[in-house]
Amino acid sequence: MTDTNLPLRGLKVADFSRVVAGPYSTYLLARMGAEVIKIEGVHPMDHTREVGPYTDATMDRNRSGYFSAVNAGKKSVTLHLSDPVQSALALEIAVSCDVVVESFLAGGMERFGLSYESMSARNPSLVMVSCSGFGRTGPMASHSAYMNTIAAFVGLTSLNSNGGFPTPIGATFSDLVAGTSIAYAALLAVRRAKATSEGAHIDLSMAETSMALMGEPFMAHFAGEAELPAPKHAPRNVYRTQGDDKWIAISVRTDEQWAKLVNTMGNPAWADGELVANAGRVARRSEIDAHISEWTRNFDNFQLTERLQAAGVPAVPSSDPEDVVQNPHFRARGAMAPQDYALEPGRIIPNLPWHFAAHTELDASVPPPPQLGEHNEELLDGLPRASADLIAHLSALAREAARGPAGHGH
Amino acid sequence: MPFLDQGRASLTADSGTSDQPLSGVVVVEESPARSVRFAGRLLAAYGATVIQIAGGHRAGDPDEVSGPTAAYLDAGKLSVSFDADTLAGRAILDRLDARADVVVRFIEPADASNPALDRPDGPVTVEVSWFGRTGPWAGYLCDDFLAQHASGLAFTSALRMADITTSGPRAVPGHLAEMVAGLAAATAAMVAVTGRDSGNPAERIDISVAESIVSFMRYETVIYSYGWGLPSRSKLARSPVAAPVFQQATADGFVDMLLMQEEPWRALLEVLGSPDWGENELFATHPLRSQYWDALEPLLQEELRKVKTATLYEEGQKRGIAIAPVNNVAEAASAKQFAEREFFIAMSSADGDLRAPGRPFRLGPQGETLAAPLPGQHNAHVLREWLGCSLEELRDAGAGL
Repeated sequence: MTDTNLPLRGLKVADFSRVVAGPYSTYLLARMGAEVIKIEGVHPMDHTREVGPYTDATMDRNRSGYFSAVNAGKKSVTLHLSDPVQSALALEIAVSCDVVVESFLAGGMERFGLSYESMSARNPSLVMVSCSGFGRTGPMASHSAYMNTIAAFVGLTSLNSNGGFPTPIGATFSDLVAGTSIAYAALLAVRRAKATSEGAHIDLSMAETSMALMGEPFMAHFAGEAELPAPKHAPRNVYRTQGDDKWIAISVRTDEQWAKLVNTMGNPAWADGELVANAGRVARRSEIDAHISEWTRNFDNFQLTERLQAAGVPAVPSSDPEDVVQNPHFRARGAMAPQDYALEPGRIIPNLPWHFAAHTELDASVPPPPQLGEHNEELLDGLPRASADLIAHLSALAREAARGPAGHGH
Repeated sequence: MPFLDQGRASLTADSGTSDQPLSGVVVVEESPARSVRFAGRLLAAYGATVIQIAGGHRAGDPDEVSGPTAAYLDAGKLSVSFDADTLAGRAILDRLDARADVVVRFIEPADASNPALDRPDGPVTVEVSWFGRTGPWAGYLCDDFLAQHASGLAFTSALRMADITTSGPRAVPGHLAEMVAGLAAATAAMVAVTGRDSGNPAERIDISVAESIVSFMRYETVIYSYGWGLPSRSKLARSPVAAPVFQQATADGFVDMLLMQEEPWRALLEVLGSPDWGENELFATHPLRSQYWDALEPLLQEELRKVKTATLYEEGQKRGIAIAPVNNVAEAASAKQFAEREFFIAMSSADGDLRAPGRPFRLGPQGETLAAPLPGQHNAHVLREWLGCSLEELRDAGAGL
């Protein structure tokens, strides 16, 4: 059921962005009620349409799981921005919106006649967020970047070093931090624009949005301290359980929790003496971890979590993607929810990062993503120079590109 | 709220100009949890008047925040201090909430299902908790370390382990999950404020620290949901979505890269002196390079180890390759890019002058950021003058002036 009273109802967004950061930002806006128009090409097209996963490994750019997960709830219009007529149509759509989001390298929008200046001349309240790896100014303004190279440059990968070897942070972290930040930035600027009738062009650096979350290590560095202090309590680690690469994480923070853990383990002889106090446990952390591992390997990680939590011990399964999808808590709350998409019915994908009490329907399911060019007629019909022949041509190209062979979209 | 409009100009210069987007928005920050404080920091940075209640509910703070981190999280806020567990303190808290546009607070697991905490009418209310206020895990004990494991972030941050049989998933050091939840909380608050500006009722928002990371697990979970099999750590590392990828050792450090198209692949071969294996048909296309990454990576590593990081970075970027050095925090802090963009700012604190990360994005000049307040520093201004509390009420609530 569509909620017509969502908080962002009435907000209109033109989305020229690709891959993850920009699309995730407009996904958040669309889910909360904004009308989001994804303006995308067919040669090339948004890369996430081409990376899958696809059912049966058969490429179909309307059925890519990754695309569906960051583009749900939007409309799609296909325009070739290098063509002056089609870029003029894109301009018409953009100036009818409150917000434009784009992620071209600096100068990209200008090349297509879509500069902020040209748009704001038509719509002075327009807000445009330009998202790039390192921002539109500075010596790295033109640098190519993806989430992992940004995480590496800002120090996140190094923070996650394992035995001196830097280890990448998963979950496309820097992309999604930037995406959330773009949504926040756009809404802030729209609020100001409503008060002042003046729009804004926001130069958003993905690197800087990640670094804003790294206040703790940066402040420690500037204060001359160790980047991050070692954990102060023990035991705190992951421990093998039954199954292939299955683990449970336990984090005992108090002596009382330790006593409860020891009791749950059956009061083994090794867990007495100086281990009743945290200082003793910290000093013998490795030894304790080895003992706990011997015990946990006999159990299923979800069942043991339930048992430990019931006893008052902080513990969770260390989840792999299957665990996240199947997690009964995340499913019950709709954090993982089925996508309502006829081409891929019922796929369970991550939902919004929040729950609004007045809009519980958002938790029940995720709307479908747009098929390539699905809304060409709806969005282009009536625009200057958008002839019926042109619209039909664009839609035919989109249908062909969606189902073409691998590499066709590049 | 004329007093706070004036007060903000003098007390929080960072957010004192009338063209700030959240000018006139009053936020009450009820809990000392990192997630809540970071949400407050993000709202204050764009003009909100954020009133932090020190000595209020000590919720959601298993690793106490202090020193430079507290200076960062609390910059530009007002602080009031009283005992919220007293009858008088509770009444003051209710009055503060009633005057606020937004309330942000942390809910402990033991309180997750407590209906007494629900306030159906009032300001936009953002409640952050480890697992949310509903569901079978609502009462589970947790911390940032466990939230990263429960959400799958620890799994995806441990793909490149030498031996996954002995090295388990690993949480990223620090408190990243709580910071992500804080970002989600500020953004959700902004969604609700936008709706309220349009005439919608105030919203009540439930944010789980663990779920704020689950929302990031988009690629890893769809692999499983779409039937591409169980994405094991070894499989994700050996069959990446694109290749070459990941951090790689160089002659003097590490670089990270991601090559998704043909042009950067040809350019990388050029930078490496066109090794013979570059023409191997197994590596001829982007899908093939992902498929045969197991074979390609050792060949690539051998060549990369001959070249210095700076050379790979400069020559690679010249040719449009998404490649970057793997910096530590000190190297990142001194990068010319961030200096030229004035990302890091000067900030005063109780411990002296500090440098700190600035706003995540700018809607105007970076401006001055004032120090984090001392606990209760603004009792007189906020509680006595703005809220109109009597001296007796303040005394009963333990609020010193």
